[in-house]
Amino acid sequence: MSDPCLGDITAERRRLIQASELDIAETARFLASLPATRVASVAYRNQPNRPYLQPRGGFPSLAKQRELAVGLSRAGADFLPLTIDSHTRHNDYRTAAELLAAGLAADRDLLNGYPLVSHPVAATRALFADLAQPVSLRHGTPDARLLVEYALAAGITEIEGGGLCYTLPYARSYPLDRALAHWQYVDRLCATAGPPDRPIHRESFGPLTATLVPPVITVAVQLCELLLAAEQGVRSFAVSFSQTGSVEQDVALAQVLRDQAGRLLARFGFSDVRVSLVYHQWMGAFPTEPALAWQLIAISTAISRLIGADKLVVKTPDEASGIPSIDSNVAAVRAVRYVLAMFPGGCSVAGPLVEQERELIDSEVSHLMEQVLGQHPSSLLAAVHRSVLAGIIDVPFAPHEQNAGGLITDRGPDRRIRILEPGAVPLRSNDLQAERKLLGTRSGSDGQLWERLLHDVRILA
Amino acid sequence: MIGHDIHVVANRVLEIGLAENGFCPYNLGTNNELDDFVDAVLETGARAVLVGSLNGEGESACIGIGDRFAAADLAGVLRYAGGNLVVGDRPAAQVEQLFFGYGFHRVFHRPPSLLAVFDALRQDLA
Repeated sequence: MSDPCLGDITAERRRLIQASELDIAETARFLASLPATRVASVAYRNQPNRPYLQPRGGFPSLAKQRELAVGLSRAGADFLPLTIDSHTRHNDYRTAAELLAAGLAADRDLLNGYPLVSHPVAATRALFADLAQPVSLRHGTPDARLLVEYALAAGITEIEGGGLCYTLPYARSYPLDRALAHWQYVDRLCATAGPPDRPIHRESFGPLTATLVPPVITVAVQLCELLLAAEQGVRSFAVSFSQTGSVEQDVALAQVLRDQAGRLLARFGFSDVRVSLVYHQWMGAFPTEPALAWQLIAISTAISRLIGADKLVVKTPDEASGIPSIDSNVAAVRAVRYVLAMFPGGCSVAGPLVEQERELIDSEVSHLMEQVLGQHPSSLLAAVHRSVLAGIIDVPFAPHEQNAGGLITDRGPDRRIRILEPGAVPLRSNDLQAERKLLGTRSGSDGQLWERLLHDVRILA
Repeated sequence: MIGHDIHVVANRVLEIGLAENGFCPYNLGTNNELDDFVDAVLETGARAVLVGSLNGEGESACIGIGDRFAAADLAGVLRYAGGNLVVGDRPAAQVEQLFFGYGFHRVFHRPPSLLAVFDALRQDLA
């Protein structure tokens, strides 16, 4: 399948940015002038023998965002985050600008992130000008075209997101086909905006709803977004997922994700795409007790080493109580570095449980992807769109009204995530049997499914 | 769920729990206004509506629900409110009175379990 779809990206870009201060040629010159240390795709080409560290964070004002960036840079973060506020994510730039102004006047934060479109490009550039790390755009935007134009103009070289991963978990009614088309634009934009030898890096958001998402769905979404990006010319891409709650499942999932990504790219003639693996520390409810939160952070740091992650997205001990402070983020980066230093040569785990899990996930993913790719519509985008509408790709607990919501998952006695009811997700009968066998039979004391699900939401809290 | 509440996990768990307990739920999901509940009853013929709010938006978004249902000739449809219905800590009895005043028949403010909801629904629909 090939899909030219977007014709003249430059003409599209001109239309999109005509009312803004942006200038396509100036953005290109600025990206080319960035030091190599600021370029995410270059960092991934020079991967050290450990995962890169990236905290999270974004504040509305320039002063506080600058304080965060400097603090994280000094603490040893390898990538600096720029997390965007939710009004900007939903393209409501006017409200974002109003709340930015009102917040500055009242000296308090009225936005839950950095309103990138509402700050002058020069001001955002200045935030990071003297820092040595690449900046990563973190948001959750179905239509991120203008936001990414601003990000590139500001020298941000890593763009997270995708038509599936930033729509199904984040929006209820934004039409999926439109989101996919807008992300096709973003992919093409990232493929063409930077210098060819230092391409803009794209990353998908594998955690999705971070609530009992079974590995087959996580991997399938990552593979679809990887292929969609490759098709538009993206040459540096990271697939990702978040800690499942089972070490064996994390190890197996990572192996399948890497293998299948490589195979799929080769099959479609995209072997020149460099794929990295990003691991998110536990995205579910965090313990309120700092002593427990630190254990969780330490264990997931160790897992990132076991799965050979190229980047680790770091949590903080403040996670349970809202937006983490700068100090808390700085402390987390130090602590994670401390744990990583205990694995100087890397590490791996193997065994029958991991192998059993790997074989099962691999079989499920192969079958599901054949259903997605075997639909022979006019384009890959249409095939992916149709697969969601048909419930072939079905994300548990996604609020989007076009998500089927027929897939029901549960956690087995060994804490691995299992499929209880597949809905319309195509599973071979022997794979479904294996899922249910591993889930085991329930005793009355476990309660009904709804009780188990409620319990699972706080399983590590 | 009413308002801009995006607590979809609780919403989905409630749907699964209702089905497990013999009810036939139709889930409106997140981001609804009062009229969406009225419309859904007209479309589905539901005998009860459960309005959830976990972010406290319920306090402003549920005002006048009884009148809306009466205006649509649906005064007899059971109306429950549940979740974390107001912002901040207030005595449960005070929150219940507030929501009874809006036109709800039962109010579950910070319920320890959903079992009480299922039991009440069973009793009220019997």
